[in-house]
Amino acid sequence: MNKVLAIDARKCTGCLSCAAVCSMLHTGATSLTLSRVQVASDESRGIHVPMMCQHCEDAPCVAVCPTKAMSRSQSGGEVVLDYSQCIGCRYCAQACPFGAIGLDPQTMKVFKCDLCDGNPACARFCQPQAIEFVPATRLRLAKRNAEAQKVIDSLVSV
Amino acid sequence: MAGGYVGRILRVDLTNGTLRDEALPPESVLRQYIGGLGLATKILYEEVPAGAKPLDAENRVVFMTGPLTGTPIPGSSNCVVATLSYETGYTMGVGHTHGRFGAMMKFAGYDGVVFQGVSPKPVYLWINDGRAELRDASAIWGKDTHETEDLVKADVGEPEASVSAIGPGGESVIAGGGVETDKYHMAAKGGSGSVLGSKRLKALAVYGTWGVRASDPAKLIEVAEAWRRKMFQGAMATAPSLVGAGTSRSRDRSAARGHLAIRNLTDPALALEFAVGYKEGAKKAQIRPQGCFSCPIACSYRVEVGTGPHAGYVATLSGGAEALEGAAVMSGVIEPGAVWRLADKYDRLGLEAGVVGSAIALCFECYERGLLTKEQTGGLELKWGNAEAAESLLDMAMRREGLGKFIAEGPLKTAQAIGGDALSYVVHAKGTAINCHDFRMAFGVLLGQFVSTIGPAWQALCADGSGLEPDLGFETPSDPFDPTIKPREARLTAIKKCFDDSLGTCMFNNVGIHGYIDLAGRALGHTIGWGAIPREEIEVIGERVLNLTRAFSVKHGYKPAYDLDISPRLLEAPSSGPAKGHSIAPFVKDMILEYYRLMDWDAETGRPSEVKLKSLGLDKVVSDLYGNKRAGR
Repeated sequence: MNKVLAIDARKCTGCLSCAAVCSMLHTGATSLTLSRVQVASDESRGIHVPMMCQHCEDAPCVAVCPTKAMSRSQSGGEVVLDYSQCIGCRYCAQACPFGAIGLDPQTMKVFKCDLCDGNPACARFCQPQAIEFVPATRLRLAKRNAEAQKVIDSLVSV
Repeated sequence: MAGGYVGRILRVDLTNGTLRDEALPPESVLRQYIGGLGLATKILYEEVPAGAKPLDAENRVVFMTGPLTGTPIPGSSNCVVATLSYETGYTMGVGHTHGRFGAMMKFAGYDGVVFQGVSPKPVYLWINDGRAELRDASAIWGKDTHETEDLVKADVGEPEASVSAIGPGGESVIAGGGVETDKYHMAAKGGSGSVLGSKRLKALAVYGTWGVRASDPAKLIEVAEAWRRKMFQGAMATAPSLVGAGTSRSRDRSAARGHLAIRNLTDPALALEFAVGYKEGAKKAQIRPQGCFSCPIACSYRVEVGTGPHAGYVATLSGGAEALEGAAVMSGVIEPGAVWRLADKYDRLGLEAGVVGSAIALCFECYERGLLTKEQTGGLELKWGNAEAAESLLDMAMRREGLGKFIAEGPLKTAQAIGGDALSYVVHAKGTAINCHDFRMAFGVLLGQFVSTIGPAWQALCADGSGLEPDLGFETPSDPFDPTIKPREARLTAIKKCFDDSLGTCMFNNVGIHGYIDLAGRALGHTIGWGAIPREEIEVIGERVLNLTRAFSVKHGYKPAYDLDISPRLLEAPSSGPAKGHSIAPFVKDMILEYYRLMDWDAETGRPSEVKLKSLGLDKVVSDLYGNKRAGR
């Protein structure tokens, strides 16, 4: 069954463990700029939001890519980037609704999350479970239960 | 060099405003000191001349990361801030910054920064992608640490920069001046903020896009994952109680153990009442844990007070409880909103709450006992729990007005000024505050504060209070009142801590982990490219750094018996709580002597022996401490 990244910003502490391991794994060095996952913060409110490729089903990056370098994988679970076809035009970065596609200043080619061959390191390194990699059918569970708890609490006190 | 290190440090001469890049020492030296505390100690030992005073231009303030700083290793956020201590005058003072600062300094292109000299006008340092510059800070001077961070970020135009700043406390060279980082974290201990204040260095801002490389990324990630998993396994690990801002939610365990510093250590059992109210206050507050770089614990927290007179106040605090106890609970203030707000005020002023708060708590006790009159307090009613009065005394210390004149000089000076029995009531060792908890409930942790070579601080944690060390053979808590076993615990844990602090990782991620020493050795090896560092070598590194910190004290005037410079309050038995009736006083001298014997330090002078120093490769130190002639033999 397809698994998907499930992100819950309410749990994120902004520790950047995800970015540290992501960049180390993909580039051999910890680098906030080359990390596939980014964490955007509202520091005054202490709120942090992990941002990354959502592997959209109808992916705008795939639609605009002029060389078919960006495509949906054979298994269908992820949007993959074939560097042998990429011409570095950055259309995909323009089209991405999340700013999830970065540009490597050395190669001048784009980069993005590749789901680490089906075992995303960011999710493994996220202690508060703000990033999880879950079967598609379970995507809604965490949020469903959290919201249901509010109802439960209100009924208990009635 | 394969990885871990950037490879250079920045030297800043504030007197003439010059900046110079210097290469890190060669690998042969790095392998002996690693980084962080080890390298900072080496620099301070070699560069601060004997006879120098903390506020002299010759004193240095060293910011030093380690090779693991900024890697996926858990808690790789550490940057050591070290100087000739303003608190003791003869030991090193060592603090640790966290947040994103250490990692970002390496991303910006430097392993560390050494400050020397005195700037003619206030300046701040901006480091960005390998370039560094001093900038005018005249318009920022006087601002609190949080305002400073915002102003500096705006001035450099980089909202994602990380900022370490001193506050008005450091500017006014108050005892206890620290360096506040990213609004949550203070490098306290040793008064580095006040030394920087005397040098007119207001802040450091760092931002960069460089990477921290690893020699074997895949293996490093493997170690990092195992380390993270083990941190949360087993009762001895410290991580579970701190995770997700654990400190902000409950102080129950600390209170029950008699570990909580309340009312100047006069009645530990009263902490139970504080803990009940605190937990209630936490339930009504909005709390958001804030993680330092690559830290799975996230002990720091943003708290919005939900109830009481300070409802709506937002405090941004680090995860240790020392600031809560120093700022408030020591003076009997236990209303949660007031506790958080006062702790936040210390952070904003850039002051270590344990130091200033210990002096203020002493004033409260002296007033309660009739040693201080209302005339002497400037009309303040110093009744336990009077939060307004505690804050007023802090303000008076900032203005050096009335009693504040003495509070600004630290707890011992305050006791001396009050005179009489105040000297029996004050809480201090070597004239300054201990880590602000009541350690009389565990003789090991208490001994560790006394024999610490960097002034009273976390160095020898022992095995009876603040964390266990399964790798050192301490699987379960030892008898907290057995004086015979503590010196050995102190030696082993101090050696480990000196190694840990040289890596660039936070102690909360290092304590209580099964297999930690193996993990750390492999982490270093896979990062730098040295191959796994074996345990024997790790122990020698820790012992070398520990002995060099001791040699630093000897060079700067350590005298026999300074380790016995301890206030009576810390030696007496607590009046209540689980440690009631247990006093370390009859044993403390023998415990310290036994510690020296195990360390191979001279019983009379406290100096490391020639044989020990030579066995650690510290031949230069032999000639410094014993004279060239003897070293040559």
